[in-house]
Amino acid sequence: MGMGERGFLSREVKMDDLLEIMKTRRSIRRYKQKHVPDELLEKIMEAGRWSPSGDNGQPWRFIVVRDPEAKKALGKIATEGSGRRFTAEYFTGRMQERFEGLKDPEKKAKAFKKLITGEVSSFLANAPVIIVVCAKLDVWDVSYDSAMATQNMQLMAHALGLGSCVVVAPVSDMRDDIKTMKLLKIPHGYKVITPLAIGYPDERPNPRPRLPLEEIIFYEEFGKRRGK
Amino acid sequence: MIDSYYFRDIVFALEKALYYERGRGAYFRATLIGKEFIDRKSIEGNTAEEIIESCFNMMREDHMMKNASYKKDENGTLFTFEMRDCMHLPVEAILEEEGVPAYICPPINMILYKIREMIDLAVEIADITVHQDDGRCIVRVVVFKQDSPEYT
Repeated sequence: MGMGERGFLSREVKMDDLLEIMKTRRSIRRYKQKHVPDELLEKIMEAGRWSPSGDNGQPWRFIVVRDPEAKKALGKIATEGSGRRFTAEYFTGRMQERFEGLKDPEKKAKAFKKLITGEVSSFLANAPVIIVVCAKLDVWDVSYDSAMATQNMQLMAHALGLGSCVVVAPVSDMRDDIKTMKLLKIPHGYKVITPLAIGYPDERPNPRPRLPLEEIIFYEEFGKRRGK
Repeated sequence: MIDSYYFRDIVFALEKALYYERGRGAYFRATLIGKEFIDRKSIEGNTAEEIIESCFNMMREDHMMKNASYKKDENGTLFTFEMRDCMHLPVEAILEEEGVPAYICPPINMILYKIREMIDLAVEIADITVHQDDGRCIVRVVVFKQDSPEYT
């Protein structure tokens, strides 16, 4: 097979394999308490390292967190952030509207509790390892570059039989971001993009629904569908 | 000479830029806007209610707004604020024209920051509704005691 047929690939990679990895990846929130070897983490970060970046700025930096106290602290920040946000949603009635389709009152109460208490994000503390994706700010496309690196890492984790989950709760709000930066001793000129929880999956979530292709694809201009 | 529209236009452009960068998440990047200002003021109080009144007094004295009031729900968690003729209203008017929903309320940010700092209650803005026609904003927030998570 010539280069023209497989681009820059050094060996044949089946498109179906790649799509399978993408389609079967899940956000894993429950992990086996089993050690994740450094070699696997290095493969994950290697995948991040090969992401595209504007001007080849490579803003990403990775902090591997295994220390239980540091993980607890991150989990606490995440839990409090989510708890505040969802308490606001609950008391204005928006959460009740969002869960209108859920008819079982017991399940509904359980879901509400998980959100209001912030427990929805507390699993971060129990992940065997957290790779905190950070980024240098002195580049043009910090968020885009770092998000692409994070996605590469998630796909690699999945391909290695590991589960992962992006948990932005400790950094999305400035009030929490400041605490996380302090905890991890992030210097000026850098920011935390997201903690990425990693471990061997102890759950098998169903795929979340996806919008149909015909709903999200336009041709030549926004809103214009094929044949119109 | 810089006219009175200068800061309005600058704040509008910055708010619009942040919104287009972060979408709805822009709110979370703006929760501490106003902190530096209120940190220079003397705010007193041992309860959320006292802190709110102290902030209101400061804001009225500084002509940030003509009037402000609030009420609590029966749980004592959801506070509904009404701010009248606030100096940020002209910014909100242009944002609305540009399709950017209200997502920052600096006066409420300041009040919530002080409640958190002084009496360690959890605080969050739930929503902001701007009524340009009669010059007022309704801001709903939650104020509550947050239990620390426990891990096994």
